[in-house]
Amino acid sequence: MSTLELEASAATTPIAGLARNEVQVTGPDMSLNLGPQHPSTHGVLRLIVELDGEVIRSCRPVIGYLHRGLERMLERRMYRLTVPFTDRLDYLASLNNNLAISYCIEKLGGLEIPERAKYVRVLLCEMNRIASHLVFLGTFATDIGATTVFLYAFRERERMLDLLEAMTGARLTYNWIRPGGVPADLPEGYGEAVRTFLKDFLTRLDENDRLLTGNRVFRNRCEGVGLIPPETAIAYGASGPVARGSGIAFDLRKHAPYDVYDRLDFDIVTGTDCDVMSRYKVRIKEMRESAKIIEQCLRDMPEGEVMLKFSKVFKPPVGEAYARTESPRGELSFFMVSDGSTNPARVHIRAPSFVHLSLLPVLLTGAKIADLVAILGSLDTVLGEVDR
Amino acid sequence: METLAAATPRADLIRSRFPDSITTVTEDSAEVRIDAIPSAVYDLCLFLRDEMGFDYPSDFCAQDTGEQFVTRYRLYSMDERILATVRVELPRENASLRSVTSIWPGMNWHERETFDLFGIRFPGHPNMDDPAQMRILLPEDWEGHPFRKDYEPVFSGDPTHGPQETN
Repeated sequence: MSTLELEASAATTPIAGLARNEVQVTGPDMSLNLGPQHPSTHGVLRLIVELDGEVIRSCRPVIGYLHRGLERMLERRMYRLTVPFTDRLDYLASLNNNLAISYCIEKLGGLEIPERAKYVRVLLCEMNRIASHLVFLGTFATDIGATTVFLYAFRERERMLDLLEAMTGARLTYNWIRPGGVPADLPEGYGEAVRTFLKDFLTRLDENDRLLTGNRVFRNRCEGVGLIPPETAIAYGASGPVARGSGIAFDLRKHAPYDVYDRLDFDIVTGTDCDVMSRYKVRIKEMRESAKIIEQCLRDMPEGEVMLKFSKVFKPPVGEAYARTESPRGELSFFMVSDGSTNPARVHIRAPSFVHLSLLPVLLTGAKIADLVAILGSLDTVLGEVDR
Repeated sequence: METLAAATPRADLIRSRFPDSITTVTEDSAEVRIDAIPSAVYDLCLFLRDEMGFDYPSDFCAQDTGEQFVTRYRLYSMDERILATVRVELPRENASLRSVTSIWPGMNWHERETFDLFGIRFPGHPNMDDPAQMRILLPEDWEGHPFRKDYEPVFSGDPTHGPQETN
């Protein structure tokens, strides 16, 4: 049968003709498996993507590879022993996790921590926020294909980790912020070291910014991609830079201030474009806001104690506490129920990455397969926190 | 309680709309706390979203007290910056709650997680027809719900499904 005859027969057979046209226009369907071991997923995340040509028809995230039953494990620990477990949630911002659980335990027990401890905590959390956003900057640029930025971002992060190590003795799993305060005061000359770092960092951030933000290739990959309309962001419970990139001024440091955030002068950074670029820009600007907060903490910090006397067998009264904090990724909340014993009766962790990942199928449906990595990267999820 | 009620317009409104299905409502400047019966949850949630402005689904979790399940919805109003906690007690046998995923799509994964870990069923959830698709953190063929107090891990012979260290 010649080509001409084939076409003729196809044209006369309605079903065959339809199928032929369909095939020519769209190509065969394809199911693509991404992960669980893939460099762009930043952890053990598996995505099952149904493709129609290069357009994504549906996406199903498969999670749980890191599930450790952490909430249940915490029920078997005394209150003061729960903190190290939170280091393993969002391991890029352990201090923010430490703060969230400590804040929850203090709320449960009705403890008021010393003033200086509050400032030290906020200082450390904002330093950790910068370190976390620097990892985003580096890895996101690599996802897009700009490898240079990765090296510069990690150079800055390295110096930040050195500073955090000088304070806490650890580089990633700090276990430093505890119920009752922080175990030790700042080392001598710490404020000066942090100020010196910030001065360099802000100039270099501008350089990094120039490498990417004005870069036409980068902008083409990010602008108008992965749109999250504000009402979708709210209905899905998006928080942190993901919500703020869609123009929602939602920041728990302002909405429900804890520690000393209500005394500090900083802005909620929002973007208006709702796309990947907008979320990227929010994070870059947030690093500058964090730098402002750090400066103010160092300036305003009163002298005094940094640790409350926290009993080894701490027994909070019967009750429950829900503590909401703003981690670098968004709303990180801890919920604890006390039955009056030494261990919590129930712990629940509301992890921002978990919620953001549930948004992913919506974002990817109808997107191009080439944009998948950019969209996933812009959510900045950490799988330790998703799986718990 | 009369003086307290005078300063709680939200609580009064909720109480007047759901006189039979709400046991207690309290309110302060940061949070509205509601205790509701299971059958009223869906209507209450719809009311809270559409008429009280609780547009943001913050969290959902369950607790097994040994005698019953206690579930809590955390809702937030972006405009008024107030949190609402809806507390619902469920019997442990055949526990089920009508899904609120159609009200807030953000509750989808929270409900899946609660089914996975506690075995509470959510009629109306898009994945509820197939329990394997409802599981989220555990493997699709996992048996049992490990956050229940009566859960006994069973070693199936498959090392990936082994009993976990329990302390």
